[in-house]
Amino acid sequence: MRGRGTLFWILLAALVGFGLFQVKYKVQTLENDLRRLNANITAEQEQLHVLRAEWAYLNHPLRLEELSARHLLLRRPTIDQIRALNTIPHRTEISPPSPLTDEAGR
Amino acid sequence: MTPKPMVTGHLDGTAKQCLEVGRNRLLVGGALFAVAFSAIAFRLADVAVVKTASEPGISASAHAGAFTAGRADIVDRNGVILATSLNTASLYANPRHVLDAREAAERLSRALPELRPAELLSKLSSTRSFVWIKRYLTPRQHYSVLRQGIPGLYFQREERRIYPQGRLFSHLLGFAGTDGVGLAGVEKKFNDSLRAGAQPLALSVDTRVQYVLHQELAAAVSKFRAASATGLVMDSATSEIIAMASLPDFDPHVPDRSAAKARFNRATLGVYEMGSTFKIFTTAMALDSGAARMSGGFDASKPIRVARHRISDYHGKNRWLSVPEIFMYSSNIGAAKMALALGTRGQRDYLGRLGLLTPASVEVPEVGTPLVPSPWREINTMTIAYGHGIAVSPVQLAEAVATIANEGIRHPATLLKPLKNERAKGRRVLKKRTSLEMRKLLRLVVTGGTGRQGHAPGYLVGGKTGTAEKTGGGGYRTKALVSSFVGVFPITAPRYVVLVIVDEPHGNKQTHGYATGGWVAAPVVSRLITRAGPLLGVVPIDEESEQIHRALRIRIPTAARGRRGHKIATF
Repeated sequence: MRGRGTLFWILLAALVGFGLFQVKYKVQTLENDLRRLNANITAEQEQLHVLRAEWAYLNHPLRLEELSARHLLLRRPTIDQIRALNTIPHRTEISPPSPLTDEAGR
Repeated sequence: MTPKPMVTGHLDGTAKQCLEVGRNRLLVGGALFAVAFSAIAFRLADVAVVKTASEPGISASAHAGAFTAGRADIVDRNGVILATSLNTASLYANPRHVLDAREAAERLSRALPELRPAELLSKLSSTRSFVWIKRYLTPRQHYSVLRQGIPGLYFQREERRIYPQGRLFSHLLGFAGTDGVGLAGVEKKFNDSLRAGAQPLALSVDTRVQYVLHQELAAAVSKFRAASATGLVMDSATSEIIAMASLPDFDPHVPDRSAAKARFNRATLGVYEMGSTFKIFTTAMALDSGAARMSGGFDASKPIRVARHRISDYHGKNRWLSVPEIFMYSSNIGAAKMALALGTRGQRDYLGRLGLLTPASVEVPEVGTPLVPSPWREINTMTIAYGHGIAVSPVQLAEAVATIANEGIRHPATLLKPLKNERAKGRRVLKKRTSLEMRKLLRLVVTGGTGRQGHAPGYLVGGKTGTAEKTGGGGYRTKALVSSFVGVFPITAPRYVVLVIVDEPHGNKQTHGYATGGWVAAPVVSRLITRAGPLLGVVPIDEESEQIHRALRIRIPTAARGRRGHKIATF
């Protein structure tokens, strides 16, 4: 009787001890993961910071103007091209769209 | 399970006593152990179950420490980065660790072609243990040096202040030294909070408008071979500075490479005798105080002679002039008489309330103190009426014009973007009626007066030209001018004030040799408004509509004082 009781307690202690170490190691690996992820996040943030600075540099108005002049057929807008929304006349009747012809599509 | 028979009765005295002692000791020992175990059990429960404050929470420990790169960023009102700090690698060598200096120099110059091999060789073969090769490498250079894998080369992380917009904001932002201390401009003014490095500092400026202003000013400087130029765009309702530039400027990355003249912020630190733009204030204060009325006028037929001074008109009409005409033709005689009607004390009072006698409150350390006459005599009152004998900074002038356009409510000029829902309460310094009358007069200058070239179709510009002679050699130099134009648009419901000042312009064929504000500065303002108007979200207005005509109609009393006739200007 006494021997069995002792055996039970010893087993229980061993089991709990085993479980405890399992949890401990698990926590340790998770903590390592966390530390690594945090370091990665910080590195990414630094990357973002550098990229943001580069983006600002690439968006310098002078550079955009030069690129636009080289690659686009855009010119500065004139005053006639700008209208307030409420000055645009409403379409009174809705006509079906005319079929595209060669001329219209040109 | 039979209970064991108790041993009793057979023991003599001593043995019984011993047993008694043993039992007692056992009891004490047991009690001690019981206390120790319960203490441990209690502590166990305490640690495992009860949560203490010093324990880090899960969410707290799971946070990656927010990344900071030293000084905080500075951004414009739309979040565009104006200044930022980057961690860069700087390359140094320990020549004692270099195995083969000749080979190392040759390979290093392959990675960094801008370095000369001969110089590198002498550096790498020196006997010192530390020598800088190149500071602040770009990430690409860093990588290409690493790829060479040369022993004896090391990197040092260094923080560097970067200004992605280059020269655009040089005076306004200022710059920070290599040790990360702001030495000028906003960088100096907000040094402490920038070093604390939390939130980016948001300014009120708009990079796009700044670019337009910078470009137009530069064009004017080269076209008129001017010594310098400055200009600013200000929100007339809040006095937020949208753009502010001063030429010549400098590269904020290497400020010590430019002359002190280029580092001088003309928009805030420079003070100028502004010339006729001051007639805005003279007319406004005369109308506000009741010293003059829109229907009144003054005799401007003869120059005024006071002591050895002679006040005459540039665009002389040599007759009686109504108040609108005095303003429109920029008559010095008329303005001087208007100021006399108000009196010296009244003039000083109004100028003080408009903020023209005290340094501007703008957030840069470089703020110029206005030059004010002392003592303030009657002759000063007369010359100040048309902007001579008093010198103020451009930012002060713009703020005062904004006050007049903004129904007479003054806000101090600022470079900071206001926080959401935060609306600064201004101070009323002029009657609303004065402001409405001044708007009509400002429009009159552009439609029929000296500022016709400030016209920007669709944006209803109102404004005033100014041409001041610079002092020098004990008097005024007629050839050296400060030509300016201050515009307000759209004049029916003002949103922005634009000021352009060109210092020592030279007339050319296109301007028929003129270098006055109307010929030099007004076209700059016109082009600027045309380009920046859409960016600022100002809706173009049909200037010919009946509504606009009615809103801006002015009755100009005709020449003779006694006669009742009126001419109605419908510009």
